[in-house]
Amino acid sequence: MSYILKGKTNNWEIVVGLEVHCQIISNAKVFSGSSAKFGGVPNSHVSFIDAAFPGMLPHLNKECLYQSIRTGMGLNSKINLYSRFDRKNYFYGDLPQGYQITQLFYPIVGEGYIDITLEDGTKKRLRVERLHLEQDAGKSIHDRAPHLSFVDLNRSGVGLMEIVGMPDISSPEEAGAYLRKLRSIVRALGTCDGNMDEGSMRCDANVSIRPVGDKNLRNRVEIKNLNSVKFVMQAIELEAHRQLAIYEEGGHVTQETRLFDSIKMETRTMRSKENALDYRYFPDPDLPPVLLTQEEVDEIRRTLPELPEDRKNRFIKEYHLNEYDADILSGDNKTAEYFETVAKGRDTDKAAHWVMGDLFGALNKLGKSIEQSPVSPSNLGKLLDLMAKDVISGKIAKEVFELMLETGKDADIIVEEKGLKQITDTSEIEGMIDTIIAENPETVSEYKAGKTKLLGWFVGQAMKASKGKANPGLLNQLLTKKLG
Amino acid sequence: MTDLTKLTLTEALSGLEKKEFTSVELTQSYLDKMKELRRLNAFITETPEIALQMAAESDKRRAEGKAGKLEGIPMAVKDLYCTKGVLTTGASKILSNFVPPYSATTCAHLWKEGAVLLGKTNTDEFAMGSSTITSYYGVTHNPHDETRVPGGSSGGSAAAVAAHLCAAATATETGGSIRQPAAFCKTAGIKPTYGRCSRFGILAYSSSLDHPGVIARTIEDVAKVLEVMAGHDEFDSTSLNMPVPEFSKMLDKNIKGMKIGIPKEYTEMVPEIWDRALAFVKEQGAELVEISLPHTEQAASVYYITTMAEASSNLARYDGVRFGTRVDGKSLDEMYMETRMDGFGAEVRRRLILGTYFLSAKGYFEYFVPAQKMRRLIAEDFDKAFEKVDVLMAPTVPIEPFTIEEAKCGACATKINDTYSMPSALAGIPAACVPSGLQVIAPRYEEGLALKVAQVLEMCK
Amino acid sequence: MIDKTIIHEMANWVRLRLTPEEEESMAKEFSETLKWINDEMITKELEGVKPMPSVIEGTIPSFEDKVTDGNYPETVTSCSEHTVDGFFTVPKMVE
Ligand SMILES: [Mg+2]
Ligand SMILES: [Zn+2]
Repeated sequence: MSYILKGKTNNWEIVVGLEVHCQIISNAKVFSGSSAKFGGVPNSHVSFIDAAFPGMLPHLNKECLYQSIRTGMGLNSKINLYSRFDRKNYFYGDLPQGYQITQLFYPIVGEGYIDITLEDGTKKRLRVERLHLEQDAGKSIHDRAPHLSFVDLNRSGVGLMEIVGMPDISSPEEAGAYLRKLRSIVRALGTCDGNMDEGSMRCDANVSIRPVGDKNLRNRVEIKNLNSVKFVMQAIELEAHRQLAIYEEGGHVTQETRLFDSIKMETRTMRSKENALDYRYFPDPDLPPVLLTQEEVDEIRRTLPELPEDRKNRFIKEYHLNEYDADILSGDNKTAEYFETVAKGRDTDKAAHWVMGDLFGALNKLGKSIEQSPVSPSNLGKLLDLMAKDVISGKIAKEVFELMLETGKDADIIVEEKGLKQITDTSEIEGMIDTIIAENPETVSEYKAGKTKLLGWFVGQAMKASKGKANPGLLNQLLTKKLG
Repeated sequence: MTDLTKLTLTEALSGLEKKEFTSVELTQSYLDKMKELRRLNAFITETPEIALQMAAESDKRRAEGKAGKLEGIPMAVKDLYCTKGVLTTGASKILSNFVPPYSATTCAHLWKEGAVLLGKTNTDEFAMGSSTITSYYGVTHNPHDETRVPGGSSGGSAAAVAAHLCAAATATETGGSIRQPAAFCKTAGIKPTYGRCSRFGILAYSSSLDHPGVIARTIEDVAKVLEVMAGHDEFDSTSLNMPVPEFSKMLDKNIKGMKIGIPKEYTEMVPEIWDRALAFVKEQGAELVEISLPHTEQAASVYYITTMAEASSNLARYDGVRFGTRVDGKSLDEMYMETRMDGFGAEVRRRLILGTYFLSAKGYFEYFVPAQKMRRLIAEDFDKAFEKVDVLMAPTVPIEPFTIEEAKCGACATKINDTYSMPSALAGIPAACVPSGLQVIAPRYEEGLALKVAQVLEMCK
Repeated sequence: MIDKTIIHEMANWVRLRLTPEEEESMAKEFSETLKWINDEMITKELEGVKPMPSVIEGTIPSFEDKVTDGNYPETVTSCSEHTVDGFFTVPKMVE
């Protein structure tokens, strides 16, 4: 499904590359021993190293390095046995050293890719240029005093992975799928919690457009600090249309950095190319190169958790799911775990149906995550078992499920308490049928005269009488016989 | 009582051991001398109360039989080393109010072995200079001729040692800042292997070249202090992870059969003792071999590019936000600008500005990378030399100390100043120097060898 | 050739400033220095040589992922006179 902007003169396609900063999950910061935990009293998760006091030097937290390598493996990337740290020099209020330690010349992770599946089943491979390990800056607050900004260094020095994508994305939808897939990968690996609203995953989008068929890339605009998948998609769309309007009027798009305003729904200039900074990168003389052995890298690979892509393929094989369902159910650890608990030893088709349909729908309505689900996976499993054993019908099951959501009680307890057990006693059902036949002689005559469509009406009446509990198969069978 | 400051560090240790005097008495003698010669301006900060307290504690430890390796020895510390609770300025106005809440690892090592802090010595601002005239706290005078400079940047330390204002002093060298002032003040010193002494807690000038080291009155004293200061530090990722030999026990005065290389590029200008020294080492059974270090001349360019580039980045942290002085401004950038214009002296400002060029998109590939390549060739010159000889012997500096007036008007070519020290600093290899103006350069990790040969040279009068 | 515009920009990079006269003289001095470096150091001999940014060429040591530092906010802010409620303060940063 290609995404085309229709102009007066041309059809245009968009070219997008995303740069994503992922905060690494670790106990300590990347170059010091202070806590990497989110929040805290101002300047409490700070060592003299993080505050760049005179004479302080960085030292490397191995886990941050390993987390980057794991993520690289999740991106099907080359892990570089030689990498190095560089300094990116610039002045800013929340950058204590006056430079950021990052990796420009020799990143830890080289080229890789992310495979995405769109809603219509289209698959696409989006290439990743590199992943590099770097440190985060502190945080400044601007609204506490009229002429001052307040600086908190708690985040200064927290490990970041910057994942630079190639300009392979050609629609807002693809950008969304890329981000969701990336998030599912880092979550599956436990390398980043992927919460865009808390800033633990932040995205910059490089956007340009070109006439369909054109091979050359035009000037691109970098949109900074997009903090939700929705905003990324909206910003790309807005920016593409802004550029379209400029080109259609014969104008020229300047290469610049812009900010996205989600309230005014516009992008606006932050820094033009003329003011582009020269970051004066050079190898950090305080940090020797990172030399890895193949054995070390192989060992990390051996202990890697299952990746979403592998899990998806396993789900297709093991649970006979279709591509799209498998993609959704394997996407994040908690959903996959939930689904597998429900599906193990049961009708996997039904399990998928219930998780993706009733459960997702209910959670969505409640605004809850799957971890907060009032219905536990084992309990949903029990509900499926009750259906499988014909204790309740599918229809009653929906009713039971609603009650499970409300009360959090076990399925069998609800069925017991509310007396929802299916009626499978032939004489009981026959009794109900006899009453209906006796009370509706005219309808019976019509039926007998050949209006067999009325069978449905009888089923409905009998169901009503049984409060929906009559076993539908048995009911049908007995009705046909009695009316016959 | 005789003047205790006349004693060498080794003699003082022995006197303390034999209970001939206490550390408090020894410390008081030095404090008196410091007061008497305050006009030399060797110290930025004197710490008499701390010194006497540390000395008293030292005497107590010694009485309890818990004496460390430098127990009771009064020392001076270059003001580039952070000292917990004691003003640490780097001789810069920008840190003129900075009292660090931590100590440099090397200082911690000294205090753990019983050394006593007398005060913080003067230096060129952030070690940028070779005369100790760029200090915010004024020039230091050479004790041998007060109209002359003590050299630099460790000029305060060298002057303090030479004038007997301390038993030994810490120092740092980036291109010659230990050896040149040691030579100018006729003291001994060592610039160890890069990474031998931790840089943690020492104000950075040029990270890939900063070498903490020692200045003292004899090679034996130097060895004793170095073996305490040195050692692996996990907080400095460039620190050597290997045991520290007992350098002072390697000084056997025996150089029989040893091959000593004389770099021909280093003999254009030699001190008065040179010929006697050559004859002396031959008498001691060493063989002299002429060798060549072909990239000697290029060292100055490499040094210039590397130090300025690294400094421009290292000193970015002095921005008035978290420590140091601040001059306010209407905007953040204005505050940075005013703070740094006010806080840094002219020479520091000049180096920071020029240093940026070598890191710019253009300058990086045109100059910085070639300089790093040349640095390898310079290091390889030494590797090749050490295939033929055990150590190198050379003059420490090619010049005599200049006058303060000359230094102030920039008449002295600082370029030639460090000609004989910059290449070995760039190679990160150890070099020990003796009061007569000679140095011994040894292969990486071989401080013991450098000190041993230097001690023999020290015997040549 | 280094002109005074470049010098001006270089000074700004490190948040320093010069008078126009200083910019002029520094440009001249620096151009001469670069010429000297070009003559002295930039030679064919450097072709194919691996750069040596540091004499330490082994691998970087690394730490276990444990919290061993921090948690002294009062000390971290004790060297600055410009703090409010545990934050460092700076002139308002404008976007
Ligand atoms: Mg980026
Ligand atoms: Zn980044």
